[in-house]
Amino acid sequence: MGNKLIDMNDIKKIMKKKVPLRSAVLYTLATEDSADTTAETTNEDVVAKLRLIYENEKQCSLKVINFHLEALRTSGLIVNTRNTAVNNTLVSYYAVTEQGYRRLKYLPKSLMA
Amino acid sequence: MTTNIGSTMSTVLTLEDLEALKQRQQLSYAKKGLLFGILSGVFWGLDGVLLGISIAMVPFSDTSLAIYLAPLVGACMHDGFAAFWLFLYNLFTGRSRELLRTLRSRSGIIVAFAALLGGPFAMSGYLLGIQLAGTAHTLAITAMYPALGTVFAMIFLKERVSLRAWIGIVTCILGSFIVGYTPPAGDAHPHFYWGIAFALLPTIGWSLEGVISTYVMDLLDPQVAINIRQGTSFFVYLVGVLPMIGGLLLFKEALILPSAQMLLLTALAGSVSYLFWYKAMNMTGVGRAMALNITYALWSIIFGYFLTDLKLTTPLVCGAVTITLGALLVLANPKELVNLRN
Repeated sequence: MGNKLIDMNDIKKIMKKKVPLRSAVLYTLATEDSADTTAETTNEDVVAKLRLIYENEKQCSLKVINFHLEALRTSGLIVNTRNTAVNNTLVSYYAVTEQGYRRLKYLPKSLMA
Repeated sequence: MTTNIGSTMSTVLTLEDLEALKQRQQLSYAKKGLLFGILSGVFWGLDGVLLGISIAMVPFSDTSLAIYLAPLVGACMHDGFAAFWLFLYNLFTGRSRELLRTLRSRSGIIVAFAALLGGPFAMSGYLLGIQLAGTAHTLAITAMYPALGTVFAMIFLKERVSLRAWIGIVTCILGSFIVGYTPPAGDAHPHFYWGIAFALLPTIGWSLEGVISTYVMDLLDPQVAINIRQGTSFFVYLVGVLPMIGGLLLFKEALILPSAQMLLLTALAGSVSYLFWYKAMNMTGVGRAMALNITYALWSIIFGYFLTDLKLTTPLVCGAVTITLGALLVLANPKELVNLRN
């Protein structure tokens, strides 16, 4: 186990309540071991997990989630670790960077109670 | 990110093919950000021309009103209507619940704080600067806001800005200065240095708004953030600024006159511009987005020429050419934008 920058229980607590979608995308990519940058998730996994929370909200679409992922990547909070082709589609894998984990510490106070 | 590869699947894709596909996607995202930056300038140019027409209508045109009253009441109505248009946009794109979620988050509160800096704080300083130091000096100082914003972004966001992009930003600032410059009028400003101090407020306010908003937009949807920005700005004008300057009567009067309809239309252009500006800052970085946004000086000449009786003068044309050159330098290499920060 590496350096823990954030407690996984906090992430679970946050994810039970709905936070702004882009923040939720980052929370979803976060793992127990924040130093493990090899722990990667595909965008489709992110959408599947978020649909369980945000259900049928129009914004919880693959297109919007892809936009959020790209924004998080250009800001350096996540990295694109590798790409594969599955069923006629390019699937990209992402992992949270150390900087991304640091930003996760700033959880909304109202949801931390 | 998932992309349908289609016919290319008949052949086996190598690692290099996949990398190339991914790079194409990332480049397309960066180019889209630059396009949004340009569009923010286009619509802000249109907004400025329409706002000029609105403020020239009754009751704002009444010369007995203090020089700062009409613009501040106009700014309040403009931001209120823009918040309304943005709310409709978010409602129809399925983000209405996201608005409430964002408002109760710490990031949402920070966006609201940034709105105060870029809205009432900056606007009040701008108008007082014009009143005490004159338009020429105020414009020269406030036109520097993209440069200050870029410096703040380099320090606080660790944004990468190449030398060429820097030259482009400075060229755009120079161009917008040439477009708006009018020679100062002698000793007409006894409180000149106070005016210069007030003119610094919008420069700091707008640049800080950009940097703070961009920081929190790492975790927020720009389309929701800008709605909160405009809503907060309107609220503070309405309950804080207007009662303080005695502008509520003018506000009520303007609401029932045709000028309100004109402002509603103006705010539509303004909300589109702000929407693109926030998206551009998020997608291409603060410095480039601000430099592309101040190309509004160029677009306002074009819209002003067709929609008003604006005469093309040598400074206007020279300024427009300078802005275009600056924008081209900023736009030159979108590949630099694939990773924005160090």
